[in-house]
Amino acid sequence: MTHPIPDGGLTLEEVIAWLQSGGYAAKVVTREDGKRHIESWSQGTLFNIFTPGCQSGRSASLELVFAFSSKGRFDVSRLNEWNSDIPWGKAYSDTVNDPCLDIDIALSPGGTFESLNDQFATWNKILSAFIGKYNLR
Amino acid sequence: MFCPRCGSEALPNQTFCAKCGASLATAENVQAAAPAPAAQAVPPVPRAIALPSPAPMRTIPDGGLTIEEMAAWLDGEGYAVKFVIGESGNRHIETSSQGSPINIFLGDCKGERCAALEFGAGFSTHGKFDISQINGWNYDNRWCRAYCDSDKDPWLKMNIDLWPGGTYEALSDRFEIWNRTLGRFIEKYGLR
Repeated sequence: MTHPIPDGGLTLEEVIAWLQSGGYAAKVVTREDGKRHIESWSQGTLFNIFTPGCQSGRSASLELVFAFSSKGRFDVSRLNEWNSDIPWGKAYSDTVNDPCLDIDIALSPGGTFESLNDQFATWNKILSAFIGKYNLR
Repeated sequence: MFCPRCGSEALPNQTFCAKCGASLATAENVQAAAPAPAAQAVPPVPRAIALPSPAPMRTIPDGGLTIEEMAAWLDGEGYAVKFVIGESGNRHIETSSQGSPINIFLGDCKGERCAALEFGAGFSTHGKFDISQINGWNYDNRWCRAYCDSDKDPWLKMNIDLWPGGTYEALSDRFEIWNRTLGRFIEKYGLR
């Protein structure tokens, strides 16, 4: 039996509740432009969860993003190899040449909590592998 | 104890976080903010939240889809399909969209059923593609990852979860996202 995600996806508060129910610390952050996102931690690593395209408070997808401040010392040309070899998510460098990893998770239409959990487990695995491969602690 | 801002571990007598510089609050605050890595599990389905019921969905079978079922689904959606045997002896599906051939590989298989798909499209540019453009694509666009292969030819790929918890409604939506993103990739870099 699967547990469907509501039409339109999840609210920010529902995402927080889902994370916290699994033992993940999570909090809402309000940015200068008034937009909100979630900060959470996996294996001691901070990552952000954005909810693009919210309609009536519900977002049909999540974007999970990890960024590491390398003070411009990271060789971003290494990220092509990551994208070639590793399925799920994608790596890139941001405007200050810091390495980033992100993954998009669709919630609606047709989403279920079982699928969300499975994709979140995938995120945790690739995040750990990314940090380990490039020594980003 | 743990930093309340970034979650980094700190020594008990530290007053500032060595990683992000945040002031370390009382022991109670930082203990409450810290995740417990050993206790972290994939979040369960939340029971305490009253969620509105969605429209009925058609679930994908346990274990995912067989390659035949995936081909039949594509055929039903109006896509021409053929099976290709790769060098490894494994089969994958070839179809086309946006004027480009697409490869569909099934992965995470147990027996005949596979829990994941990978859509992929590669473009032969005879080494003329500017690889430095790829990072900008990955920075600006969601859902699909781009990279250059050893011949410096650009590729676009997208991975889709079929099981557990997959539905045909989700599969249709993700395939549509793939098609739209592929169309933008082709147009942006003139890959026709």
